[in-house]
Amino acid sequence: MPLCLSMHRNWRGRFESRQFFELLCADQTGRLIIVKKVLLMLALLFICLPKADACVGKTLYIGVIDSAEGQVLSEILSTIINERTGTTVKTRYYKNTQDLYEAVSMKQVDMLIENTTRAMKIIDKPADSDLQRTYETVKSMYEKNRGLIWFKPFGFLNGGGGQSYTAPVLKVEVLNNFPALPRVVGKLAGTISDETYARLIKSVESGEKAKKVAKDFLKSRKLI
Amino acid sequence: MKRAVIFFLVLLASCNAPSAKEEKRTYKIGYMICNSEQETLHRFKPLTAYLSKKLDVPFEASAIDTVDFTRQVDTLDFTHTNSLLYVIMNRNHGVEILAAEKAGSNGARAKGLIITLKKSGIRGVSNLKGKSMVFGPMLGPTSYMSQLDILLRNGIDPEKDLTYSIPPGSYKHEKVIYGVLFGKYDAGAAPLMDFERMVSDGRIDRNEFEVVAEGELIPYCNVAVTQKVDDGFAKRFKQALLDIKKDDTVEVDGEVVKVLERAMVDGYTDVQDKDFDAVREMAKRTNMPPYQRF
Repeated sequence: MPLCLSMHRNWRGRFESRQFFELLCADQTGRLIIVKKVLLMLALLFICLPKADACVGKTLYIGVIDSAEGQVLSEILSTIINERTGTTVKTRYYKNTQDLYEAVSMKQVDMLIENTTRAMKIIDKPADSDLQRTYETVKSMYEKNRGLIWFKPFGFLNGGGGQSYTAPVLKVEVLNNFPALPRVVGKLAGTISDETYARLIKSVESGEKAKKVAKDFLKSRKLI
Repeated sequence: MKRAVIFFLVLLASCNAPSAKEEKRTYKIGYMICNSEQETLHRFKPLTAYLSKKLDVPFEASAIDTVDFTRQVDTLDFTHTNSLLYVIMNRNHGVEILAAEKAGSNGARAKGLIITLKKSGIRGVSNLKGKSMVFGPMLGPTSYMSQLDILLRNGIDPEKDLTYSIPPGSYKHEKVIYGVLFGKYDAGAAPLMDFERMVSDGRIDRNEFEVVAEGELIPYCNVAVTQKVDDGFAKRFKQALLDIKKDDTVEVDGEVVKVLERAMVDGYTDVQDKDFDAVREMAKRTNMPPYQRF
């Protein structure tokens, strides 16, 4: 095992590297030795810490903003993927958009649920009243700049606090390793009308479990 | 301060520099998990030990899930995968083919089947419309892609014309065949190899099943080399594989075992990259990686 990795593991465990460094520097005294210890420790950590890489394992992670909409749509997505492909899917909830996209870039999230209004702000484009054009813009920019693929919208237009398309968005890497997903996720296109969407949200807000709401919906549409 | 700088440089070298004695490093062989991690290591630990002995170089066996393979390939020296994973890694990671594995009635080639129960009355692909079907792992060339290709060529869109699913967990090929046998699904996508093996083991009765379609013959599992290994050593490795005989043995965990028998293969044979063109064409037709379009 490389020395730095061994020290790193010890540091994460019982701070044994502190004793190691004190032994190493036992023949020196004063403030300088403390500075050296800190510098060495920091340098080692920067060099040897593994990158965050939780993505595309046997478990897929959906990232959503913690809300009734996030809960029910992530459950619909995770249930259909699990039932149709046998893949374990878990949801990670985030307080805001910034936290969600940080998680995406840290490879802690494999797919998310996004609406075109918020996506236009994220890619720093002015709002466009033409929904289809907006969708094409975000689809193209997300794929080109972020390696994220927009699927066809769920169907309802009232997501994101106004007229907007809401759709599943998946990382290209995930689609390469789970090639059945485009077909499975594609089944959700246009399945949720504004009326259905309002009913699903109301069910969750009134205390019904999002998982049950999602499962009932998918069964009613013969999607699982 | 000078001593600390020297110490830091030594540590830096230990973290990042390649070993000065490259030829004595341990070579890592990644084995694609077919049924389960334990089964894969049980099958291939003897082969790994045999190659270590034969080439006088330490090898390490690593069992890797199909969905993790492309992410881990850059940490490997040699790969043992199915033909689709090879095609993906060849295109995206520069992995190069060394040898194909021989097993079953078609030797180094394999094919996918669509099976039903005879008593179901389903005799052809066209009868599958409106029925339920179970597939194997989605990166399986003869347990998913081949059958998807058959369906699409026969005008059946699995999304519109079928109810289909993939079972969770390990031993997916067996779950598919048992799923059909016990009537949970009308049809199943199974590799011929696994179907034959279950028949010869006496676990299923061939006469109860109808093979309603057969995919084209494509290369079976194979061994390939990554860009980390020099050509000379790759050639020696390939020759060692091709030279393995039926009765060659090795000692593993205190037990002397036959290498090929434990690996459940009949041997290794030469194969060329162009032999995988049929897999590439099938991947394009079925919108599978590495040619997916969204």
